[in-house]
Amino acid sequence: MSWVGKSLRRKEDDRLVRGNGLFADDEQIEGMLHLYILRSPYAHARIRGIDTAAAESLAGVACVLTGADIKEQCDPYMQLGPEPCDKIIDLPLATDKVVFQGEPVAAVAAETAALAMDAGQLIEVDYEMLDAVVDPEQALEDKIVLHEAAGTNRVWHSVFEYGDVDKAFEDAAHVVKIERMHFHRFASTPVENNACVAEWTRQGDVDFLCNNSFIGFAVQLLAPGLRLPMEKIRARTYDIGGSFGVKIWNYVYMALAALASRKCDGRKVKWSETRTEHLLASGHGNERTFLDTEVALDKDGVITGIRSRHIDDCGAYTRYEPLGCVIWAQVLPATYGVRNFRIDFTQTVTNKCPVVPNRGYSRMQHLWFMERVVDICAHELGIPADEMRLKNYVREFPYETPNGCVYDSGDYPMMLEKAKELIGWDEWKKKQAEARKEGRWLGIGIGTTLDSGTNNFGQAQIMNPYLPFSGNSEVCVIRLDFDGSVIVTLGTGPSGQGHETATSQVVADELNIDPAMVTVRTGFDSAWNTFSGHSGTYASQFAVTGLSAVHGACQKLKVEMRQLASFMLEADEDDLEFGVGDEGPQLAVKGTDKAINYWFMSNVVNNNNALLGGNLADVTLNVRHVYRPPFEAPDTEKKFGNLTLTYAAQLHIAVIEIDKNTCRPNILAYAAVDDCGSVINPQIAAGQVHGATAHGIGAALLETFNYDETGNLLTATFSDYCPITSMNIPDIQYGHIESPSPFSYNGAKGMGEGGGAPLHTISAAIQDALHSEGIIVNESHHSAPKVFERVNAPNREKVVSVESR
Amino acid sequence: MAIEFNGEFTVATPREDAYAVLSETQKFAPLLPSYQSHELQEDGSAVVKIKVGVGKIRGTAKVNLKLEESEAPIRARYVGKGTVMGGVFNLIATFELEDAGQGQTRVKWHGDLIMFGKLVSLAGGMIKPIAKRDIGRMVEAIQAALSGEAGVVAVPEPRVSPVAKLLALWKKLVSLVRGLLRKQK
Repeated sequence: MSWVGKSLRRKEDDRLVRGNGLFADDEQIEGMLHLYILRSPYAHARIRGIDTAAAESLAGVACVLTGADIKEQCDPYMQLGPEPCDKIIDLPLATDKVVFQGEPVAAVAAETAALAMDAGQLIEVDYEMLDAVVDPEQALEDKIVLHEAAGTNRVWHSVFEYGDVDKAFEDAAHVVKIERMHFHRFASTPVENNACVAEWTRQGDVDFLCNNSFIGFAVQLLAPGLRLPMEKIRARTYDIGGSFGVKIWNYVYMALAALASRKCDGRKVKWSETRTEHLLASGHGNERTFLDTEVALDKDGVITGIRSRHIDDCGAYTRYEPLGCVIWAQVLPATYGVRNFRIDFTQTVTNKCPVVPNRGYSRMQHLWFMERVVDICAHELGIPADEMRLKNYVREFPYETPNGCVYDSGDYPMMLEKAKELIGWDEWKKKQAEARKEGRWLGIGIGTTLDSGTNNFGQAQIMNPYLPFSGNSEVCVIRLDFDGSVIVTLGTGPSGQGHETATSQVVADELNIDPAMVTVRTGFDSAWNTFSGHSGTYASQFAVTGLSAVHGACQKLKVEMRQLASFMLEADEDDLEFGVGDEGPQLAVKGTDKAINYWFMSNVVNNNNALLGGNLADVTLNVRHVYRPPFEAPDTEKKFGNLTLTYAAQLHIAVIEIDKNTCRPNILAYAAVDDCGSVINPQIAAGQVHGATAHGIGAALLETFNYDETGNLLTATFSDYCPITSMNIPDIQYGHIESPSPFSYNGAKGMGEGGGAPLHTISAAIQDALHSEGIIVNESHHSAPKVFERVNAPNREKVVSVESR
Repeated sequence: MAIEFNGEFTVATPREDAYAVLSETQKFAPLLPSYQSHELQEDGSAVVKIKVGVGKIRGTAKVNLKLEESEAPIRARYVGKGTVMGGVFNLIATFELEDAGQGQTRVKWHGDLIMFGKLVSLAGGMIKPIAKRDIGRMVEAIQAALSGEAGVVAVPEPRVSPVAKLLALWKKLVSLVRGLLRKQK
């Protein structure tokens, strides 16, 4: 029997639902100090002085850190981008100037968290307030420059051009022009905030228990920042309560806890973020503005070319950026067969919280743009939204996009058909016609999206040719323990994705045992888990990279086990079969009662090895496999190459009615169809789809980071930010199709981020409801106040024009 | 969050007298809304403590208030910088005085308040009406003070910082010595 493909209950859930999970903030150690971070109330200000005397004199305060300590002990974090990014000085604490509200300016370690906070309030910081810039287009004028050493706010710019764009426009039957579109700022909000416990030992080693979700990367940045060799840093995780990419760069705060421990003679220091701190300064998703978009279409409504100017706002520091300036190109044409593109792409810094690779990172913004383009063109040309998509979908796979990415497999028309069936399309169309007769605003929207998984890090070289990153890899170690237990350690640090379960299913299939017989180590420990520079949980890749590493390790282990069993049982290797006997997991000789169980094999290798012959000297029953996807470095000049290995897809349909009195959009029906290739665990896949859908609906209808003109975040609590909860998620009609990937050993495609499908879908539904009112939906946020604004200021004449020849 | 207020009123007080109140930090500070105390600094500024509260969030704000610009009897301009419950605010208050005839003075006032930090995030939309109310109270207090209404002109004795006390003592000493020297001449 096969375990892969079954909805095995998650192994992790037993401890998690019983409250037996171990999170970083659960760590309680006698004598541990607690860290409070004092943050700038200003979005842009010069620090003229800091007086810490009152805080330091408070009983119970162990130490205070300021920029002066940082200057002495730290080097700026490495910047990924080329000039001027490399001129940006990014340190754990601001030293001379703050550039966003919430930027740390001092830190206090004290006996209790409350005391540390009280002491922090006694620190007097003398700020000279500077004008802030929060609008990306104004930022590009460089009248206010955040990083003087960089000399400009424009941190990256390039043009992505493919095909013959000008000819596409010359030959076009229709040209649709869209003046402006805007994708708003929000972030996924993990239930667990950032946290860590740090210890700077007297031997000069630093130990972190943390919830960073990309430790392989974090350690590479932390070590030089703290002026340490990498081997001096040990970073551990256990359970992580969600990350969604947001926890990738909490190393900035981990450094502060470590420095406080150092200053306090190696006492452990815990830092645990509050929710307001999280919203203010942990990391937001990229905000993007799309200007001067022009779309060429033939007489039938097939899109033949797109040219546009995109401005990405990455907040105050570049950190993981400007990677996002290239990553969107993984999905350049979205699900459509457009061959001619010219995208002028610029990224700017502004006095807002820095961005992080939030769920759907950079591709979601571009996919929303493409969906808006398709949807607006459909409405303007009077083509039904479903027909418009069917005219434009990619149909043949593998499909090479104009920029060299290869879509592995898919069937978008079938997904549309399935989603229509789930939602009851024809019935809703009738109801919509009736509603319109009654003057009601009822719209039906389609959103098709991609979830590109398993990055080719070579795309980083398109952003900066000097970066020493390319390809991808993941690591798995599997061994038979002394008692014959099957122990697996992964290079990934899961944060709720069910890696323990999916891994057990794969191992169980390979060894023909029960998943319960497989132990997958929880969490990650840089001292014991082997990992590569790419290791981590991000970018929808575990089903491909993680499980390919697991599968490869199983093959190696099986080779050793066969060799050993063949020797011990005096049988031909081809006659052996894996399975479970009376004494547990075993290898048996087919058709006989001869068998050797795992305990016996392990004991021979580990305790009784004088029995072994010389030809078994290499058998350790402890193997490591590194999976490397077959990538080549892209052509950085032409910005051409395969940037991602697999392309999962989702297609959603929403029926929305807007209350004419309150302007509140209400979801009347919602369907989501997923295609992530061969499914490892349908329940986990469905859970990921529901989670991504919830996040997307939250982002579309509720969640937004609103800043005022001075850089004050106005939505820094859950009461203002309004994250989605179980109370406002509609019933989701869920379905899936499977188009196995030819590029992964198991046919699976990475999934989980979801590609922001609800943002596309809800925008389309609202467009459908309000197009007759002269409204073009060119924003991604649709809270009732936003819809009210739109309804009271129809924008169609200003935003869109159509030239038909 | 930036809040801008302005308005004007007329008081039955000669311009010079009105200016005398508005241009002296010691007299002006107690007119701030929910005033608690103030302490004069050696540079002429005052650290003023006022009570603030938005809903259940209550506390004391410390404002460093300084008369930045004055032109007798035409203009007085104060700048202030304060801290309050995880936030800060900057304020500028300008008073332009015009002779309104018959011994009256027209006071045109303009206030800019910029608030930053947690309070703005937490209390967002409630701040503007509260600030408006408090500014209204301050203007009423100023009107009363300029009209010489009882209890308002009587400025409480400020708490003088030790440095300021020493400075004043030194000035007195210097003045005494100079006087003695003049007498000897």
